[in-house]
Amino acid sequence: MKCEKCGKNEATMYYKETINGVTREMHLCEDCAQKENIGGAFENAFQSMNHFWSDPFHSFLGGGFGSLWNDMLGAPTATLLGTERKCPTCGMTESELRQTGRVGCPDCYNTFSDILNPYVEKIHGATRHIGTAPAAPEQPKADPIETLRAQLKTAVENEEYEQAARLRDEIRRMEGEQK
Amino acid sequence: MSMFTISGGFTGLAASSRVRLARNLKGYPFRLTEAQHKEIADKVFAALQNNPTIGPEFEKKQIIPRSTEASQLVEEHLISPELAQNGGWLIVSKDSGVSIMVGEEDHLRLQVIGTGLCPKECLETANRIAALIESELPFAYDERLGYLTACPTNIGTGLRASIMLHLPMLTATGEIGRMTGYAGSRGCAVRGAYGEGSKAVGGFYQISNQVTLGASAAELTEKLVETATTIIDAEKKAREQVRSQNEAGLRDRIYRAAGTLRSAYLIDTSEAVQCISDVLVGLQMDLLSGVEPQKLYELEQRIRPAMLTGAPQERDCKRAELLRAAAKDLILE
Ligand SMILES: [Zn+2]
Ligand SMILES: [Zn+2]
Repeated sequence: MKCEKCGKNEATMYYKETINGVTREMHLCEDCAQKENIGGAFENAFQSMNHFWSDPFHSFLGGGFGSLWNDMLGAPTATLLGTERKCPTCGMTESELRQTGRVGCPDCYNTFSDILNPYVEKIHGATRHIGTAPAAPEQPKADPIETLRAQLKTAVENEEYEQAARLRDEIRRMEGEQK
Repeated sequence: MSMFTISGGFTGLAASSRVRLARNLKGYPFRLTEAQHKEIADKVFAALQNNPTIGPEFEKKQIIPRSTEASQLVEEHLISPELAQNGGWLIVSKDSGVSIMVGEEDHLRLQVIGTGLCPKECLETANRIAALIESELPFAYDERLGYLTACPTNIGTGLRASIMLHLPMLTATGEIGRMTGYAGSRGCAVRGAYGEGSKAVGGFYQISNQVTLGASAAELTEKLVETATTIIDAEKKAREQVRSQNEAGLRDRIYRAAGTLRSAYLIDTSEAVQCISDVLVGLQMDLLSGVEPQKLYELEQRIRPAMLTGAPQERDCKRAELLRAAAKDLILE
């Protein structure tokens, strides 16, 4: 088997890892494994400072999608001059994206979503962001008593009298607090 | 103590913690011109200045490509080798606890470093600073993919949290391989921290989260801390095992390392890191005393080649001098 990174040398290193249920496998030659710092933290030589800053797999995955990704995603659809897809915002082309593994601007994620979405899922084992979001502008809060009145109306309509009685008590209590 | 000095102590064999958030400003391409770097650095700096308590803590520096100052900042772990190579800007707190690189692969790389096991505290600070910037300068954000980054490997939270672990006994017993596998199964990567040749010199490793999307920054950090704690416990167990099997051999090795630090006249980085590692084990296992482990660990940075000037032999001499001073109070128990 040929190395999946350079495609030239015989692959002698096999790398496998499962993250969040997604398994990644790579067959690499010794040179590429060394260069990409894959195949065990302990066998590879590097300087502390590179280490400190380099991200796991960043250089490998970021250094172009390589044959592994092309196999998975299919070859670029139209690389003929002039017909190639381009990001309307930054002008990045599909082949540039595949070569560098870096996107040109935020809009590229939209332009090339068919290429990037499966790639993102493969890397992260997930498709959706969770957590911190830009602070949203303050929403006017709904009046809690009005919400309860609406629920009471629904309960009465559905003949859920126990529920309706509970809601009525709650509304009275809250009206009492407001005075 | 200054504002952003986060200290978790040299507890649980964790030497230091670091959190990095990758962020990009809305309305710019990822690749910027030099003029845009300056523009963004100015805007970010101004946003920080708007906060009366946080603002005065920060200063802004231009990074001149390939300058001596740039390479020193690299060894202080304040900027990446890429930024030192290509130039850009650094916005840094006076105590160096918080640094923001402008001109890396992403517009902003916000980093918080602390000593000991404190990634959660680092994350809190990073979130606070990021929110402060974001309140004035909106970041590129997508409902589905989260914070957008130049490389899809950083998308979502943009978080890279890492802990520097000191695991000499797991290294010696070869059990580190199993621990790396365990960390991998938990979505964490373990890598040797100071490699020269083919091994992790001194048993220092960096453990960090691998994925950035699909879990919140807090969850990713929590999982990292849990995983690191399990590995730390395994190292402690391995140390006790070595003590019960061959205490005389253990003492011999540690005392020799102490002797070298106390009396070497010339010492290269690799031997120095190895001796620091052995002496740290001695201090933590109560076979040595008299020196703060954290102090000794911090020396690691100051003895690196770019931090010392002069020809190689001069540097070896200066390095030995620093180490002799730091180790002079060591007491053999
Ligand atoms: Zn290869
Ligand atoms: Zn684009």
